[in-house]
Order: sequence, then C-alpha cells, then structure tokens
Amino acid sequence: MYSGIENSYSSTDLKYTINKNIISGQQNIIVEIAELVRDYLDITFDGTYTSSAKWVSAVVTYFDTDGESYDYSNPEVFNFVAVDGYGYFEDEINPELSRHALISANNIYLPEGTAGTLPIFAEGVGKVRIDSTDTEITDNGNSNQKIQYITIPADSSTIRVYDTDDTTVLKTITVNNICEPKFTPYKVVFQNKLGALQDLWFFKKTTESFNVTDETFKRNIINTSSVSYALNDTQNQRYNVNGKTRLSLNTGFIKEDMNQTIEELFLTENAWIDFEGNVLPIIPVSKSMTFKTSLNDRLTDYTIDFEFGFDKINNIR
Amino acid sequence: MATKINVRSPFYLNLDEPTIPLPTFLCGTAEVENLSIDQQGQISTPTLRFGIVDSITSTDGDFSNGKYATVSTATIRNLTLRILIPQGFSNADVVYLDCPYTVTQPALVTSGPSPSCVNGPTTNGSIPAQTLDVNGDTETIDLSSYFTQGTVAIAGYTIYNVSTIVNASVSGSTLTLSSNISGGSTTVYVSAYDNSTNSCTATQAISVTVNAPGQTYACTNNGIAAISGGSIAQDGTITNPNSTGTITAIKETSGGASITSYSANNTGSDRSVTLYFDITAPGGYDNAGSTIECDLTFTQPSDLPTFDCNIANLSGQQISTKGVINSGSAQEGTISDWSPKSFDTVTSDTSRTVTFYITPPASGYANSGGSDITCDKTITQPAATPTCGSNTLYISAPVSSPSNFCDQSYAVKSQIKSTGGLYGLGSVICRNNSVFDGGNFYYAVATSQVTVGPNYGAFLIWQIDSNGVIQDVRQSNCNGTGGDTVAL
Repeated sequence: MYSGIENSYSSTDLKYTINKNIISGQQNIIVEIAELVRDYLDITFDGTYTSSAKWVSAVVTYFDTDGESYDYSNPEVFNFVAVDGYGYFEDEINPELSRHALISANNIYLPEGTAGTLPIFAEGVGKVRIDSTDTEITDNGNSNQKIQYITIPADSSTIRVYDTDDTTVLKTITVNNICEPKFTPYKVVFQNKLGALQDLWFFKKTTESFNVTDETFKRNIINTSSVSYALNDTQNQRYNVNGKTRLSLNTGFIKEDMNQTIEELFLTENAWIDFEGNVLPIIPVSKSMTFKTSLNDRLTDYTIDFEFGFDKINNIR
Repeated sequence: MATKINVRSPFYLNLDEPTIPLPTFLCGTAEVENLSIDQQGQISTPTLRFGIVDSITSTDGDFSNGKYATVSTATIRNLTLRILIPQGFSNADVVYLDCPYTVTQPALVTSGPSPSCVNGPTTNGSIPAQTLDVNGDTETIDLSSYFTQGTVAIAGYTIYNVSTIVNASVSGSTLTLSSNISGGSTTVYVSAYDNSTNSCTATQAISVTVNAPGQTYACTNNGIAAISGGSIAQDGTITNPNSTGTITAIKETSGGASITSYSANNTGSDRSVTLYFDITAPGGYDNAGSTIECDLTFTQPSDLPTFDCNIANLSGQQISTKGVINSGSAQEGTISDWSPKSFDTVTSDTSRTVTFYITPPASGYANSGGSDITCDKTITQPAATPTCGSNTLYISAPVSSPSNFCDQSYAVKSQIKSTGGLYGLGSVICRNNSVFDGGNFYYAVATSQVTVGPNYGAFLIWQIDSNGVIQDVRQSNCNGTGGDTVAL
C-alpha cells in the first residue's frame, strides 16, 4: 500500500505476504484483501478536505504443482485504488460503486450565502458544471488526486457531473439554499458510503446535554487514636469522574431523497462537527432510524443524537 | 484505470492460473507468399500462413477495380494488403492490419521488336454488365463467345474477383456468378489463356451489381455490421474500420464536424472513445449513394505498448552439436547479441538457456530508441555423437538457393537417415552412419528416389547446416518466379 503514483511502490510498501495453495479440483484461488488494506487507510479531517485514497498493488506470483514459478505472465500485478467505502448487500460482491460523484443523494442542502463541497472520483469525471461554470477535472495520477473536493460557490443551484468525454452527464445534483434566521445551522462532516467526506447541515434546533460517569468507594475515616471520625469527612469517595457532551441536531425539512444520506450518517465510523470554531469528532449515538416519506409523513425531517468523541475532562495520557 | 475497492466491504482477488500470452499479429506474422502481379496487372491471390486477405489496395494512380493497368516496362507497385487478424492473437479485436508490400508488375508488350509475350487469345466484344439479387441469385455467361483464340486453342480461363459481394467460378467456358448476402457493385475480370510458350492472355472486365431489393443500407445489414475493427492509437491516430460501404468522414459527435485524428490520450489510463462515421451506401441498396452515420466505440490506450519478449517472438534459435548458437530471428526488433556465445559439447541432449539481446524497433513502442531488452530462451543442445535416426529419406545434390531447383531438374537419390520426418525442422541428418555436413546448403528431399524441378510436382527443400541439423523446411512447386518456395 502506498501513496503517490500508481506502480511507484518500493519494498518498504510491502505490507503482507500471503501464500495459498489451490484447492484440489478448483481452478482458481480467492484472497480477500479489503480487511488487510483497511488497516492502512488513515481517515482524518481537520477542516481541510483531503483524499484518503491509497494505491494497492497486489503482486501475484504463480507457481506450478512442482513449485516452479511460471515463466510467463508472472508475476502479475493488480492495481487498485482503495477508499474507505462500503457496499450494501444488494450491491453484490466486490462493489466498486460510483466512479464519479461520491455522494449518493441528488440533493445538497446549504445555508444561504454559504459555500459547500462536492466529493468526486477524479478518474471518472471530465468536468463539473455548477450552474453555468465549468470546472475541468485533472488527475495527475497521484493518489491524493483520486478523491477531489469541488467547491460549490454560495447560492449555487445545480451541479452537473460529466463523464471524461465532457459531454455525458453522469449525475445532476440540486443545491438547496436554506434561509434559517432563527437557529444556528451546524455542519456535520462524515465519511459516507463511497469513502468520501460529505457535508450534512442541521438547520433547526440544537440541544446540548451532558452525561457524567463516576465511581465511588468506601473510605475508612475512623481516627484510631481518638476513636472518632470527622463529620466533614466523606465515607463514599467519588473517583474516575468524567463527562460526555451530547448534541441533538435537527435537519429541518429535507427531501425524501436525503434518506440515503441520513442512513449513511448512521453507518459512518468517522464524523466531525464544526462546533464553536473547532472541528470536533462526534459519534452518532442514535441507533435506530425510521425512514420518513412524503407519502407517510408529508414532511421529512430527522433528529439525530451525537456524542462528542472525547471526554469532557482531558484525561489523555 | 485501476479498479476502485471499498474496503469496508470484502474485496476478493480471484486469481486464475496464468495462460500463455497471445502473440501480437504483425505484418510479418502473416508470412505472405505468392504475391505477384501478372502481365494484365492482376494481382495474384497470396497465400498466408496466418490471417485472411480482406482486400488489396494501392495508391498507385492506375490502380482501379482491384487491378493495375498494363504497362510496357516492368513497374514496381505499392500494394496494401488488409489482412484479417485471426483469433489467437492479442490484437484480434482490432480485426485487421494494413500491410504494405512492393511487387514488380511485368511488362505487357504484344507487338514491336521485343514483345513480352506473343500471340495468345484476344477479346471479342465486351461482356455485358450483370445484375443479380442478394442471397444466392446466379448468372451464367458463355465465355467462348467473348474471346478469340490465337494460334492455338484457348486452354482455359482464370477469374480475378476481389469482391466479397459476388462469387465467381468457371467450368469449361461457362462463367457462373452468384451473389452473397450483401448488396453492392464490383468488377470481375476473366482472362483467357492458351498453352503456348510465352503466350499473351486476354482479359474482359464484367461489371456486376448485386441488388438488395427493398433493403436500405444501414449500420447493420443482414447481421453484418457496416463497420468493424479500426483503432485509435495513443497519439490519436485513427485507423478507419473496415466497411461494407465507403467511409467519407469521421466525427467526434453525431452530426459534428469532420476530423482526421483524435486527441492524444495523456490521462494515464486507457479510455473509451466513440466516433461517428459517415458511410456512403454501396450500389444495390435502395439508398445507394446516400450517406448514413454509424458509430463505433474504441479503447484508446494511454501509452505506447512496451516492446517485450512476447512481441519480439524469437524463432529459429538452435544450438549445434558443437555448442555453437544459431541466433535465429526475431519477428519484431533486431537481435543484437546473445550470451553465452557457445557451449561445450555434451554427450546427451541438454537443455540450455541463452540470453538474447534485442534492439526495439525505432518507433512504435514506449521503449523505442531505448536499451536492448533481454530475452531468455531455452534451447536443447543435441549430443555431440547423436544417434542417427531411423527414418530413411533421399536428398538431392546441394544448391545455394531454393529457387535453383527450378532452373533445371534434380535427381533426389542420395539416401540419408533422419531423426525426424519430412517436416522435421531441427532433426539431425546422417549419411553412412555419421552426421551429414550439409554446409548450410539446400537439398530437395523425398521419401523415395524421384526427380524434382520445372514440370514436376511440388516438393520439399531442406537447409542442412554443418552439424547435420535441418535449419529450414520449404515447399516449392516451381510455378511463378523465384521457385515460389514457402517456408513451412
């Protein structure tokens, strides 16, 4: 696994060596590599959107039944771009998923007057047209170019993602600019199904709460010399006290199309919130979700609970 | 373009046993033989070891309807053979390859002090144009009424037909034309000849139109695509696809402007490119002469191919009983050196590995102009005292060139023993129980004592080196020029 240009690996990039014999009666060998690869993908976000993709080169050497390596097509190198996404059961085996826009929904919600970001897979995109402005997508082959984050200017309305021929529209995304005069919108950034960082704004009421955890033990407070104890001495000593802050965020009314985005937020392992000037890690603590539809519910909005990904009292040692 | 894997879900590498890589079909692969032009400007049907000739074209000004005009002095002709690439080659999906050749057309001078031929049949009037319908319609023509014999009787007729829309055959003096499933128009040539020495031939051109009543020429006609094959190189050079019509324009977009090349692919990965072709409908269709548009999608490579050992395709490498290495040849590139230069003699057949250094072709590959590549080849060195084979065969006296066997008759009467059969390239030849020093000369060979040469049947020729090893096996029939030998 390595960063940089495809095939630019060296011996230090070798992470695993796997030997496997073909099973008698079979014609092929299957090796599952995603679990191994995942250990080497670093997912970070500090307010700057960067590509977490890395190259994976599987260098396969084939041996015959005598243990002699084949003298043709050997070794064979398989190159992959690894991203920290996932497929659903319905996506079947080895899901590659979208190779263009790296968001599932066809809508983006932004506060009025606020710019946004759109993640794309650069290899499969020729240009992105936001309203009438084209952004040509170039990819110099470096892994840090594979996932690119396109800035959506404030108050844009439509985004079209084009194939590498610059003519075929692969995805059209509607930008919904929300005027929210009452509440303070919060931006949550999470890693979505396609392995990219995606923004999701919560426009409505935010509730902050606080949970404390502690332990106690019984102290021996008796003074053996005077055979007494002080009334101001505590018998039950509290220790290991810490707290965690929770946020309850509301999306406001959104289109049913955003259900898949909410679903991906529930399933994410990495999320952050832009909160009071800091980018802080959060964990979705809501564990169940009932999909809302315009037919059943008329209007669709979601309340999702998050917990900050750290203790209130700094106890990092 | 690398596959994207989403590592929160499993990703399975499915590894199959490697298969032997397919060779690349090149012009040299076809091993075109018997390509010649006769005095009437008609091009012979060449024989190919691999591939099928789809068409023969030429940029020479007097090339028309698949033949040249007659010439009064021998003339060098530039031909392009479009060869259909058979399956089993890595570039089979390209469908065809255009290969250039030069052939000398002999003069046709029937009068004056130095005629190139004399007497012979002459034409009698013109054979009228023929019209058929598609799907097996036939027409017959009595050729005897359209040719007049010379000093001796007409011995037969030959047909020259380069089109696939019509089949032509002759039986006695009856010419039969039959249509195939495609419409269009073409010209079929028929020549009359006699058996006199150096006799002239006479040729009639027959215009043939195959109609497809009620059919409109489209991108697919009776299951046959109007265009197939073609390619776009990394630098954007477009090779037109094969077409049953006439391609008049290439476009990037449907109805767009005409282009002659596409942009170079510098993206770092292969890309899919769809081009649109304007095609003029051939004769015979209801819309003959009109233009239709068909599209075809190509994969444009990101880089020039790298010249490697598979492309070099070494052949003919051998080691003599004395350990001397015969470097053989490379289908592409040039063998510049090899290592080691020789081996010690051995008492039993021994497998040897020789490293050959091959200079890439000057252009066309990513490593053209770069360093030599090295290719290891395992060759069996025969024992120094080989067991003479038990196959009894007969050889002729030696000649320096295969074509010499067609200069005069040669008796094939000297008995030898071979470790292989008639086609035993690499077999060892013994005479009188010792290895036969063939001196790299050519020998006619047969299973019994026969005579070969002009006016005899086809025969085989061996080239035998000084170690008694057969280095080349050829077949000859002494028809045409140069003995018409064919490497087997």
